[in-house]
Amino acid sequence: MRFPLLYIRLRQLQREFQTIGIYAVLVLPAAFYFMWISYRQFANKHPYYIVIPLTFLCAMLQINRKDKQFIFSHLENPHWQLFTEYTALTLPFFSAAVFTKSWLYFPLEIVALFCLPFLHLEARSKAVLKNMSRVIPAAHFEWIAGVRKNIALITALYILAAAFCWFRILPLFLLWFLTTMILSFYSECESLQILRETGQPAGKFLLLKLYGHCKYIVLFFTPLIVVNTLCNPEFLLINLLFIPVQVALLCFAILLKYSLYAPNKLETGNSVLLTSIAVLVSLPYFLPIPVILAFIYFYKAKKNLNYYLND
Amino acid sequence: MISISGLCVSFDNNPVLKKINVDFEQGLIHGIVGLNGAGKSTFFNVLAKSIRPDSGKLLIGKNAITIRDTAYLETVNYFFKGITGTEYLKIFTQTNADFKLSVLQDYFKLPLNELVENYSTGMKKKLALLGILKQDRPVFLMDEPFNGLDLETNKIVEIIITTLQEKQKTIFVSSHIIEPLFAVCDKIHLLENGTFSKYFDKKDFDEIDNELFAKLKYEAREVISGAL
Repeated sequence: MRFPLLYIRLRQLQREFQTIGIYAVLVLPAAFYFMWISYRQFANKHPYYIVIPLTFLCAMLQINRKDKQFIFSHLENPHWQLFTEYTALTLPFFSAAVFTKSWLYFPLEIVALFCLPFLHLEARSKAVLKNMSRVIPAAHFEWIAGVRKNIALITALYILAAAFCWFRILPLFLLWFLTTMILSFYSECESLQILRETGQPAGKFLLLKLYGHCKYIVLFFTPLIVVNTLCNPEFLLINLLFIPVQVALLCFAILLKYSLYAPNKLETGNSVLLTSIAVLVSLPYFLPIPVILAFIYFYKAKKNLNYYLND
Repeated sequence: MISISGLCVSFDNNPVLKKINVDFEQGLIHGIVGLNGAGKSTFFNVLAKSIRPDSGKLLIGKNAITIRDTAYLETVNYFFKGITGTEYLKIFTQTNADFKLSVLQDYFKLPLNELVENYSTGMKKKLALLGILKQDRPVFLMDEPFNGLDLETNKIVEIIITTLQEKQKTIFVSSHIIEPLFAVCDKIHLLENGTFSKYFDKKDFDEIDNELFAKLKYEAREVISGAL
């Protein structure tokens, strides 16, 4: 049997790696780190932490993917093609179960992934929360669009984080997951008309953008972090660092977008790098990375935007 | 006067606009015509400062044209995914005090509370047009504004263009369909091989068809009749 879909994904992955250049070296350690975390969760009898998010991720892919009609019309054994794709994507993480007492979750995950291609639900883009611009200004369109697209998951994660906010680490993990989702709001470049709307020079434009967007993270996360700190005072230092690190990640995502900005361009390649950095910062030694990158990319973004914003 | 002198633009050493020297009277509607690849969109992009020219000066009066001098309706309208028409329009600060969305909406009938990505091509064009009309700029650049519009909206766009002119705006319009340009333009400029080869006043518009298509019609008739 041939697997053209896997071949296409491999070629796309190669292209993404070429796009991110030197930062490709960060992707492998991030992947290995996540594999190690997976192994730890299986070994510590917390397989749900891995199996549920992975299955959920693949289910979301299955529902949201735009190429379903193409795959079912043009590829042989379309269900197998999709199954192998989901397996290739998740196997490095759930295969660790085989070496632990939670080995049963390995075949269970395989069965779950096998069933997913038979899920024929379609995600239709509907305008939910039509009055969102009364809460979030229209100028922060990335947040309006991003929140609208992911409202179900954002609400679920936030409610879960709030419900477990007296637990150790778990709410931080959920909020961190929320941050990685927020980082994906910045994978699309706006038109030149929108970019130029503020009429500000590049440096001021970036500073206003960073301030305007970072305040949402602070407002959104602070109440939960405060409650979590009160319940777990021994985690004070970690909790104190948590929001600044998430803010630094967000700054980096914004600056990365504008360092590569071209009108109307999709910057999907950024998501690999952003996710890798987001994973890396869960290791204490790598905490300063987004801060350093944010500084470096501020100047890159400013230089790139000078072309579009200065006369 | 909008004066352009020595304007050269090239992509990968391939010259697109070749040393253009031309003056456009302010307060008029200027049609820009030319065959595919003549450089119309590049010319608009240079005026809108989306593309930096290799050389040349662009002046409005005695000052260099700035980003804030032009409002630009592009051929293909791109919208950020996941926002509604209302949100798109809210992004732009209203600097045109006379702009009344409710009045224009009576004619355009856009589903402003729906996501823009679900709009048809014509609807997207209308929304982008509303976006630029909110802004008070001295120069309006409209690259193919009639593309994808129904007959009624075509007429409305013609009325909008002439109304802008009445407000002393300078408008540059291009179109692949020449008839709407005849209806609205004061002058039509012919862009050929990267330079403005001729312009026509309103009384001479009849000549344009011959000028543009005479050779093509003759050659194509011969070739196509032999191919069918």
